Amino acid sequence: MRDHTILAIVVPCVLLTALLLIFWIAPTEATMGQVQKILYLHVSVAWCGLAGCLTMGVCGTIYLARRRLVWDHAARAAAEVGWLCSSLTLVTGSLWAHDAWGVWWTWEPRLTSSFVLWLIYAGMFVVRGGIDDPHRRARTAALLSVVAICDVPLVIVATRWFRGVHPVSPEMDPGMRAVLVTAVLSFTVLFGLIAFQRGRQLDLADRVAELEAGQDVDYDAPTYGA
Amino acid sequence: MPVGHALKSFAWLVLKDLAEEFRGRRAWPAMLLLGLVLVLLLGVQTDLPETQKLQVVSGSLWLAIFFAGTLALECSFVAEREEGSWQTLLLYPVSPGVIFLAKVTINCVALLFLECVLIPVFAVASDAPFLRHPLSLAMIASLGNLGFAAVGVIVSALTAGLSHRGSLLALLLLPLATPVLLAAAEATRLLVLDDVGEQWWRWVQMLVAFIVLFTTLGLLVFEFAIED
Repeated sequence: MRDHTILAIVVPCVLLTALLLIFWIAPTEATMGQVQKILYLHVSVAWCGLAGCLTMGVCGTIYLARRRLVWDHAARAAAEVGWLCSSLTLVTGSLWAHDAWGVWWTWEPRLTSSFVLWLIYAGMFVVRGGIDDPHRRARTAALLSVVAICDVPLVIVATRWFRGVHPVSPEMDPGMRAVLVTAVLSFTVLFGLIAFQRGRQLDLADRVAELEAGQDVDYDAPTYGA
Repeated sequence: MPVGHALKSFAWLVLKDLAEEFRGRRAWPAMLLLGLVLVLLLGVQTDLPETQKLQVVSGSLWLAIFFAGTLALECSFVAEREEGSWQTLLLYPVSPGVIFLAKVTINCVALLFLECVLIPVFAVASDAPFLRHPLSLAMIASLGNLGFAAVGVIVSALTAGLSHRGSLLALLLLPLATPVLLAAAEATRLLVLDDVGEQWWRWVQMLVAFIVLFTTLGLLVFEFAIED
């Protein structure tokens, strides 16, 4: 419990530092001006969206091997946070594109593959909502998450492979690069903590439901934060 | 398991599904009819100037194949589920990988049958030169079928026992199969534009990469997908 409290204090501090760095310390880009600052948020949430998909796939695989619902809760938490980050990626990317390219959306390879990733996340939630049995739901979601991982390399290589217009590792001032790395790390810690707490909440809700149903609860089963 | 036994079982599973389709006509006629309706609807939209038309016809053709093919994929496990032979299928003395490959093969055959009708009809209806490079087109169609069927059979097995399997299958299959459909549609577009160069080869490579990926995944996870 103490560890969670420390994290809950440290994470906002780290995030606040990142925001201060983005808006006050990072140099303003010559061509795009203040709009370029979207990049720090965009890259951070895009990375968290991909990391969410990978985490979901890894937790799904572990569920298939061990059949413990705690891994399904972790996969679901990662999926929810990943979907949120994926949505933010599309919104922030669209804002950036409007200023840089003059359009809100274009069917560029990386944009298309990112939208596909968003659809996969959304489809997973619909499937989860349609199955009542927890283990069947966990198995189906785990298998889909393993297949969904295939979209991650596509998002990463899309621009290089298909010569899209999305920027790839652009030349950047060292100050900007340092702020970008700090922002990515801060948002990773923030979304990691949110996913962890959500997984813990799902796990506890499951145990409460078991107790209410009068089932035997396996107190030795692995839990979050234990 | 001896390779000979696996091959024999594979052939029996494919023949069983083929015989079942010929006797019951469960999926193919509906799939063909839906494909033709889609060709009609999408063909009307391709009444454009030549340069614009050549850019969009391939995407329209692959959309028609995808939506019509989904019907065949949806029925992949319906017979076993509805007629009580699901347990029998699971008790076959073969590895789940063989069942997966047999289901992929039967779906590839269904998609090939669909394309043999849809491509000439769409070529006539849209007046687009689809048959400019017939061998390359056949290769793209076969690769597209294989990739689409591989990912489709995994999703179909997962959704087979669910109450809204039709809508769930389409909902999940479209995003998961997008890389395959995109690569097949783009490779076909370049064939229609007579631009068989480095870019075309890139799309073919992507198609092959996703076939290898989905088939390997299918062989690894199919055992979990058909659990009851």
